Amino acid sequence: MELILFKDRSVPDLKDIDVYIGRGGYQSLDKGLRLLKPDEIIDIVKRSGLRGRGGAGFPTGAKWDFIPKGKGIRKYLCCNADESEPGSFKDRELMEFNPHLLIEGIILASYAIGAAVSYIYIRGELVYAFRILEKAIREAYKRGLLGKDIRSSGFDLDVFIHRGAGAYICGEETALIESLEGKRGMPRVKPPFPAFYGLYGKPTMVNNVETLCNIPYVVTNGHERFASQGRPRNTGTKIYCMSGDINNPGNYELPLGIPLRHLIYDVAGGIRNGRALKAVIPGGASAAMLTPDQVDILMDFDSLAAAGSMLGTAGVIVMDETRCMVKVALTLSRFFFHESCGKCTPCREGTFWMHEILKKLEAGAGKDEDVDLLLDVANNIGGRTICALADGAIAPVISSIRHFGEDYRLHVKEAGCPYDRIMARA
Amino acid sequence: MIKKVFKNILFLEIVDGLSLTFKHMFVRAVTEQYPRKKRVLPDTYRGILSLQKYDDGTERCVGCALCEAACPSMAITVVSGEDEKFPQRRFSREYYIDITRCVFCGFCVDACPVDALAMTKVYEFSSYDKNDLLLNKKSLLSLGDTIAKGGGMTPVERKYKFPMEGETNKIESKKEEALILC
Amino acid sequence: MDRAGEREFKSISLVIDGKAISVPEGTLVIEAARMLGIEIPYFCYHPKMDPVGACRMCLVETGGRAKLITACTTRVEEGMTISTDSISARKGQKDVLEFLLTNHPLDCPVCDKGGECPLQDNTYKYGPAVSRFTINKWGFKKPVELGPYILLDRERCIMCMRCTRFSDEIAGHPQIGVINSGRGSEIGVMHGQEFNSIFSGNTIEICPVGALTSKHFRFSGRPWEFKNRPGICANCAVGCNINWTIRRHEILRVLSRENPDVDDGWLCDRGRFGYTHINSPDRLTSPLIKRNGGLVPAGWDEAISYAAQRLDEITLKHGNESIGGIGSPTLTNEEAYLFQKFMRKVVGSNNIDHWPKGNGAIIEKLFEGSSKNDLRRFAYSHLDEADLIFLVGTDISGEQPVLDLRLKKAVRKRGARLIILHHGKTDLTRYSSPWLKYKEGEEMLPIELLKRIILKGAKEEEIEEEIKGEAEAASFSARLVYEAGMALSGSRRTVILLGNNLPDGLIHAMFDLASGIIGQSGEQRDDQWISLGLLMGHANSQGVLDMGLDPDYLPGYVRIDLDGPRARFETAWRYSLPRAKGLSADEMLNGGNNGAIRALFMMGSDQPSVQSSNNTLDLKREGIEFLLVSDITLSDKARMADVVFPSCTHAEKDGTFTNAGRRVQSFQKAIRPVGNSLSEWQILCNLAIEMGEPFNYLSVSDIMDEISTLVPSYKGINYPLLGDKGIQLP
Repeated sequence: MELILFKDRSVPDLKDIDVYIGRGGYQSLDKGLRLLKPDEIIDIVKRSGLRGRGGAGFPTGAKWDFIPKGKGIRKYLCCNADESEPGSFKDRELMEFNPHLLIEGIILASYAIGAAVSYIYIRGELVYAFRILEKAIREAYKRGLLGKDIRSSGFDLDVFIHRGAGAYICGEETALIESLEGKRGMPRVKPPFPAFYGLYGKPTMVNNVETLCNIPYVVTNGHERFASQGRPRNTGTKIYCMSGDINNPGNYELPLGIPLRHLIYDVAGGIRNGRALKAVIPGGASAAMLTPDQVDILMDFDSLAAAGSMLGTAGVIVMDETRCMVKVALTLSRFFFHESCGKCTPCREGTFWMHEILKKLEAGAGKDEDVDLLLDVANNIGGRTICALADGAIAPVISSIRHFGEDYRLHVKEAGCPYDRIMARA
Repeated sequence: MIKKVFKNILFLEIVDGLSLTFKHMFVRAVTEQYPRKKRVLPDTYRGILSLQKYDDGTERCVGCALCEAACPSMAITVVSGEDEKFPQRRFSREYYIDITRCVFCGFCVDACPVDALAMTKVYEFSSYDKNDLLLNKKSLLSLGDTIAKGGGMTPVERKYKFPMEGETNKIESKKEEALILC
Repeated sequence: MDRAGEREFKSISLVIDGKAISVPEGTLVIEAARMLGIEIPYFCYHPKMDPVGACRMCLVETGGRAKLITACTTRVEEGMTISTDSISARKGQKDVLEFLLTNHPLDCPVCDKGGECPLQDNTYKYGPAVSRFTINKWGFKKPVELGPYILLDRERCIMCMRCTRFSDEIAGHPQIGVINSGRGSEIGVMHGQEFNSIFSGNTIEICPVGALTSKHFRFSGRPWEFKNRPGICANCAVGCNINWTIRRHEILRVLSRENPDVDDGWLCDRGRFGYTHINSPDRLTSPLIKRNGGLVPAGWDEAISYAAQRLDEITLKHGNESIGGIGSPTLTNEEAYLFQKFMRKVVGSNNIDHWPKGNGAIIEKLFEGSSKNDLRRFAYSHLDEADLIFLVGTDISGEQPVLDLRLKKAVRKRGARLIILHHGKTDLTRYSSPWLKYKEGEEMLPIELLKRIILKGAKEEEIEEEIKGEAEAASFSARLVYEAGMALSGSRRTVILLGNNLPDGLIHAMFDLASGIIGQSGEQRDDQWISLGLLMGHANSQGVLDMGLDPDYLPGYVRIDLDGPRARFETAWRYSLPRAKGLSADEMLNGGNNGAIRALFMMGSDQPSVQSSNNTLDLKREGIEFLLVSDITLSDKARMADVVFPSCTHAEKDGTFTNAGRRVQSFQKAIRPVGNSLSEWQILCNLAIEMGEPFNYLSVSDIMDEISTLVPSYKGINYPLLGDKGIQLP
């Protein structure tokens, strides 16, 4: 297995441009900007089968291909570094330890789509990463890796970094664009898609940090080598963010399509305190939960979608048998209720309603009808909003009711949280 | 045949008829000696209308004119406005009930969202002057006051005034609610 | 820049609820459905604003897609099958309503919108019968003040964002916005600021719930008690169409009544809230006669006969020429016509004028003398086609606000170019490219420069030289003037609008410039036109001029001193008209030349629009033996009068106004006259009859018939023809 993103993880001071260049950094630019035409880069990325790592898993090359070709049009590349999905912390680590990899990826991607200006929209809370990235950009400008005529290829690129103000919704691409324009971060109606009408009304490409970090490798080593890892249609490696009740939480880069069991029990060192597994959220807070009998599932976009969940950002949250699923759903629904932007009615009112019902159930004041109502409310929200936040908000609620209905029944029956009692006894 | 003849001869029908008359000589008279004596009215009696107040003397009416809309005989006129004492609160600047047109159907009482209208048991309101029968807000409120002061409000009446189920008659909480409502 | 006329429209056919329709490409599904008469419920959609898709109410099912789509954001596609009333679409609509109602307070009984509320209506039609939301609703403190006219009830708000979109997209005053997020979102203003846009009142009207309420109208009644009667706003010369909301002969509110050729469905706050004088307690209810130094109420017969007697006396003593008449630009066309006829025929004097007065007559005369077809007379609709709009010395945003919206639409939506020549900063100068700023009173300089550039082909350097000496007068660079000149001569469709109080010379110069541009390029471009207009100041400033409320002109701008054209009137009126030149309003107000005016008849009210203009009435009472005034309240001039006739406001009478775009619009009596007040035309008829002249008009329609035979531009106009949208004068 070959590491793509975490290749030099053990190298100290990789964020320093000299160290990075010493390790072979920015080599891809010579090939990418000088030898390849933009269309050829898009073609390589297309053939590599690289899929967006931000959650949706849309083929990156195909997405780039949507951008209108031609020199006269002003185009933008936005790097989505607004990583705020609970359970996901891969972009932060990438930016903190290897900022130049991202910059290299941005240069290649901008060249491929023909953007002369690129923005990095970074989550406001990631101050440390922001400072590192800012310094890295400054260094790259000094070395002539950014600015006019990069590496005497005739390609100009300016990279600006913009800090968000703490809204989860701004990780949605159209809301990110609105926020960049200085407006209130609320998703736009699609179509028109950002590829045609994006930032300031111009064609815009929004890519995740991890996606862009893969580009230098793809360009240098070719699509075959990239596609040799992983499974067909789910090529390459992925950073899995392991968290929850496991012995070794952290980021692990592994090929796509490895079994979840391997990830939990071998990579992450198994469940803490020798307890039994109860549930796994495989792709960040907006993915549906999996049960222990689904633990042999392969961790890739297609297999998880077939199982009714999603790979998302591969933020794997593991929960052991002592976890109350109602409380989990309540916590997650509180997050989505708080982060709903308020534009679409079902999401604005529905996330609030779900949260209130869950609060009632967790407090032991719920009835059996409340569980049905909760499910109905969740279903009524789904698919009726502009962006996917609402769909993400209902996924944990619906899956927790479907798989762990017993927990809900116990809450109603015992008029309180049974797990609180168990924990108190312990 | 014989029976019929027999009946005719003995004027049995008359006896039959008079028997009821004679029987009633021993039954208590039903004639009400009105106005010397006054009848006890059932609790759901629909008499003249009145406007109600909260216990602290503030008016209930918020001037929504739903009674006006509900009235089938168009007897009610409401002119709403902003309460000067409670800015940004709606109230009825003027309120008239033309009781000569009222059909005592009670629709207005049902329509009232804040239970400001109530039907009293007062039915003696005939007058020599028709103008007296055009009740304005003042007279309607004073009618409501007499009912409240006279006590004797039966549970049914109370329920009619506070028709929401399962609620205490705690005036304060009701008032709070109505204030929030306005 | 896209031009409606030139874009090729592809036709798209689709099926909605089993009915087939073909619509132009780019039409929204909700609009296509509306064309078919199919109703799709909505809250946030507004035909004049960009789709936002926030309320999700217009969910419909479309064949081939699993998800419901919003009809207000989806554009039609070839072969689409839409179903608005399928089980899943109806369920979607019901669910959205249930969500909307979860935090909407059920205070309909005290809500101003209750009874005319789209949320209520849609809930009845599409909503769930009961709520499953048993948790406490979020409460907000009741109304917060957004601006001088508007209160916001945050609980009732359903976040359709129509108000914020209106103030941003249409009014260009983004003073309100959404603050906080999610369930806690609310409409608000920036800290320490207020929503004082002149168009703020429109947000009340477009609010689909009772969240935005009017301070004036608040709590004053319920919709089922109201009648809505059509009217015309008289607060400025735009002539917006309105609906009076009336309860028991009292005006409670003014709503817009869309007329695409005039107001586009919007109103300004001056028009929307400027109705309080109509039901004011200060209104005069009976005629007043001055007795023993004080004005005392009298009957109509008494007042009329007294006034007639005094007028006769003065005529006998000092002659016809000693009597003067001053009308107001708020008189209707019929009243203005009748007033000048009264003065010229019954009194026999040409001392007839109106006040305040602009110089609109000049442009009428200039157009009369011109024969160029490409030099059009201004109509509002020209703004919708113009490539270039040139404003000369006019602050449209302050004087004709609703026209300002039309200008903003042209500039922001269609990309038309705006050039402003004005001494001060106005709301529109920020859209102007360029804004030629001059020192007040020195407006001739830029016009002369433009003339040199356009007509004489002067180069930028020459202008530079020219400006050097005039640094004090002009605060613009030669480049800007040159740019403006090039734009003017290069544009195909130009609208030039002049202010009301510009010097005569400037109007002449602008007319020359416009006809010069037309003449210059007439050979090359045949579809070029210039529309030139002078924006009048008051409701019927244009109309009273047309009707000859002027010492120099008879109706239709017929010169009084030319025998030929005058004969037509003499035949029609069967009277030999006075030939002597009359006095102007300013002269009459000063008692005429050497006290020639002994009696003055001042007709027409000092309505707010007249009061608010910068002019102050400066009437010298000395030397005037008899002052006759008709007014709605006891104004300053009425206080000085010997006889005061109580007159009606335009809400209480029938008539027509001619607006600044020369569109004649009729309005009907909406409420009964206050007290014993009469319309001015009735007063004039009574007075004329008393003075022995049979003015036997039974209605304003009779007067209009007479006008249409005598005034060429009004030819053929009659009341049935005017309808509710009015007629554009040629």
